[in-house]
Amino acid sequence: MIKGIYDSASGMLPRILKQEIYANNMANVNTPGFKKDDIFLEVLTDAVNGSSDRPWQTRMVDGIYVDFTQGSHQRTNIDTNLALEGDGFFVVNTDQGTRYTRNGNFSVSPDGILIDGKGNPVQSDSGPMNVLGDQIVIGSDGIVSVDGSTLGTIKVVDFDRPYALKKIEGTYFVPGDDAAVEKPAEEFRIRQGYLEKSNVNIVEVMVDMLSSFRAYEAGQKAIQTQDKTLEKAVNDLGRVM
Amino acid sequence: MIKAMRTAASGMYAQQLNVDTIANNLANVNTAGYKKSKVEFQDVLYQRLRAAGSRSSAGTSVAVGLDVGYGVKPVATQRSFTEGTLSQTGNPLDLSIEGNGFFQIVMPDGTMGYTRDGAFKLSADGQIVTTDGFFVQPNISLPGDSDQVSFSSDGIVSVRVSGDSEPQEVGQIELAKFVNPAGLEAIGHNLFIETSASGAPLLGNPTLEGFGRINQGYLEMSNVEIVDEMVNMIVAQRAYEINSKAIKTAEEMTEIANNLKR
Repeated sequence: MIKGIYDSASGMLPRILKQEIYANNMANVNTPGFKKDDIFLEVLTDAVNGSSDRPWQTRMVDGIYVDFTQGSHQRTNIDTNLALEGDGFFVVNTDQGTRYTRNGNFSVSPDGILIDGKGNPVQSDSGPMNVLGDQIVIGSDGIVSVDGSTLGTIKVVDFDRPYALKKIEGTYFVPGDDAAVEKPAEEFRIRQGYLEKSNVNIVEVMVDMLSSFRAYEAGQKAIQTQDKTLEKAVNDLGRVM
Repeated sequence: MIKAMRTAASGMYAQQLNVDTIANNLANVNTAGYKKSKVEFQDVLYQRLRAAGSRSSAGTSVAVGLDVGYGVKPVATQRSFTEGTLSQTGNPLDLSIEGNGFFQIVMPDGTMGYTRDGAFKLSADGQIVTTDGFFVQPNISLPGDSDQVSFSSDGIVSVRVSGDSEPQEVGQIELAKFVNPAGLEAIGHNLFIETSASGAPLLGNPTLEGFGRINQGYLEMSNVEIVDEMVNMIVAQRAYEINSKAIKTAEEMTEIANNLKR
């Protein structure tokens, strides 16, 4: 009986973490290049047998993963805004090292280098991308021509296991372990004058939040019911009529 | 639980700033030379609860870590320098630039300002000034008895003095352009000033490469698109709403925890 209470409580605890993750997804519903997080729950196999068919019970958080589905594209008409369609990441050089991002909210530095929102240079096939000039045209394959002359190609890379990428502050990603090696992306298209929006879907995240919330509530009811039963056992069982 | 509330609150704050910016764009939908801005967002730091690659109790290494984000932060407002539509006014002192250049204006403190708003006037002594009375640089003054002023597309100012049959040249408009106009700082009065992000101004005459040509009798309207702004406002409002729902849900979960013990 006591054990049931612990089972129910262990079903409630991951929902709190879930709520935190959903809150972060919702806060970033308008952040370009943002990829939502989701959560793996793990069934405690050594708990009560057959408990896995009761979804509010005995589950633990196994991990949080980044969902890399494509975000929709929003037109901005700014020449240095780039959106990726398909696989791959833009490459940005920062003081802390190479960073990967899907956020193509770029601009031009005073010395004519393509930079991202934090002022870090966007990489081409050969170092920073020079775009000094008046008319910047970037093709779907990433080839940059300024005032009619071709200056380079925007570097777009991919990973064999994109889920091994780790999310860090600033819509950046870094490889999660040393095994992740970048390679040229193949299936992609760059759209100039567009931004890739956050892939958080308001309806979806709302439904997820509600179902998680109700599971949490059900855990509470289960605990309260078991508490009532225990109360009977402790207080009423031995009473003589 | 408190964390989810603060995370969602950062989302509400960000959307509030978004609506503020959209409201300013809409307020300036009829301001000549106004350039719309938009807020840029980034996610903020992630708390590492368990690193990917660490050992699990079963002796295997964990494939995915446990990183919880702390919300969103607005990082910049980016101005879009796309060209506004030209509106014909017929006023000979209304100029617009078709291209990337800016008019140079001397502000009262002697520093330089830059504008796309070419609604110029004449001062009492015949000099070309902005609506606020700031002088256009290089200084151009028209003779007192001139009755017809014309600006060529490459910026040459000529007037015809009454009685003369031939127009005479009185000056040349010079434009400034920037490598990164989005880095300019707006200071009101439709003026921008240079910053370290915009870089120093490059000066040149109109119709030279990239500076653009002058259109006399036309004003450049605001580049705000009402439909775009309306859609952005709807999205911002719904995002605000959904973040408030996240806070409410977190709050109710706290209440449920509180009610565990009857």
